[in-house]
Amino acid sequence: MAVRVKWSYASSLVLTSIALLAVLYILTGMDAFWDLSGIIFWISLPLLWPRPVRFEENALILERGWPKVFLRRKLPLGEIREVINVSSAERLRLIRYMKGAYLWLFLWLTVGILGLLMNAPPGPYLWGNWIFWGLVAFIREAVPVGDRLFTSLCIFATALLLAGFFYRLNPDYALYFGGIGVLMALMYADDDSRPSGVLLVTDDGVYLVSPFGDEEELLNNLSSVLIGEGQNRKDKLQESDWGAANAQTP
Amino acid sequence: MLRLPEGMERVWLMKAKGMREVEIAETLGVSRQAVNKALKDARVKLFEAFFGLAEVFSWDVVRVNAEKGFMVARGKCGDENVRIYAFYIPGRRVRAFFEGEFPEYILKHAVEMGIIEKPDKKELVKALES
Repeated sequence: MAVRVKWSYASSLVLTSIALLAVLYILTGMDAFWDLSGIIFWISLPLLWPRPVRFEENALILERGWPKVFLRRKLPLGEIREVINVSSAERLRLIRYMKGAYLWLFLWLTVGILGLLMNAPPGPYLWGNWIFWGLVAFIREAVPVGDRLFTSLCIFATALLLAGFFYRLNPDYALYFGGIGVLMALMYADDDSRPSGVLLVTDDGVYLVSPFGDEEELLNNLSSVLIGEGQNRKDKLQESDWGAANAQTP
Repeated sequence: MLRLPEGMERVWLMKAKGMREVEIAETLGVSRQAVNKALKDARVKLFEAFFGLAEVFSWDVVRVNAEKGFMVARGKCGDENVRIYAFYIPGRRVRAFFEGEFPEYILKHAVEMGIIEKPDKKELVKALES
């Protein structure tokens, strides 16, 4: 079980920085901005590397970083408002909780379109990829988790549109986007490719904990901790202002 | 089955219906910290109730919302996979229903809690699932 890399404030900062540096590179043509965005990307990988989620008596510990822990968040159980097993929530649209997806779409499209308009090096192929992958990521968050066919169709339609646009510039690019579109559409049609993880909605934000296909184990552990914690609290409630007179058990 | 203590239930209900913690504190004549603590305790107790229920019946938890007091789970009924919807009803504790077969009082409760705007079964299933 691990915390998924994206959607934390640190990840947001990294992705925004990379996009803004790419814009500066396109506008100024200075290679330093491009190099800097690459450096930030590679440095951020170990800094934000996901680590297993740990359970403490009354909290979840979310950590990132390799080889050492660089980011740590203690999540007391009382702060959790909602728990969602993403892969089982058929009609869930992740975008409802992941508002950052709108920002990424805007940034990725801005970089891609700006790169094409300015005809920035290394060429349209790269900027087309910014547009394509930005849209694919957005579609994945915006379409209901269980609607694999619609996700595939949206991705394929996006690839076809890009292929049509690029055909006038270079037929090879069109072939690339057509090919990658078919490949991604087939991949996303597969039920195994549906978004996964456990979404924890808390007072101060949303955490997508990604146990790499073992959501049930995470939920079972969480359940054990919660039930244990509940038992502890039940004892304490007998003496508290809120529970003294009215605490009821089965 | 678990039931929230009366005072805690009142605080939780006020919050679930959209009141701010400061307003709840003023209404009940207690400190904001006391309200905050009661809400956190209520959430943990509701999670405990829903996860406990799922464990007893071997249901797979899909979603637990401690703020509005409901759970969506998957379970088996014979050979068939079914969807189970459970609600914490103040005064009645937890009630669970299969495949959206909700009685009127659940629809009324869902409207009161702000889960749906009008008492409609399909709308409630949609709200719980999305």
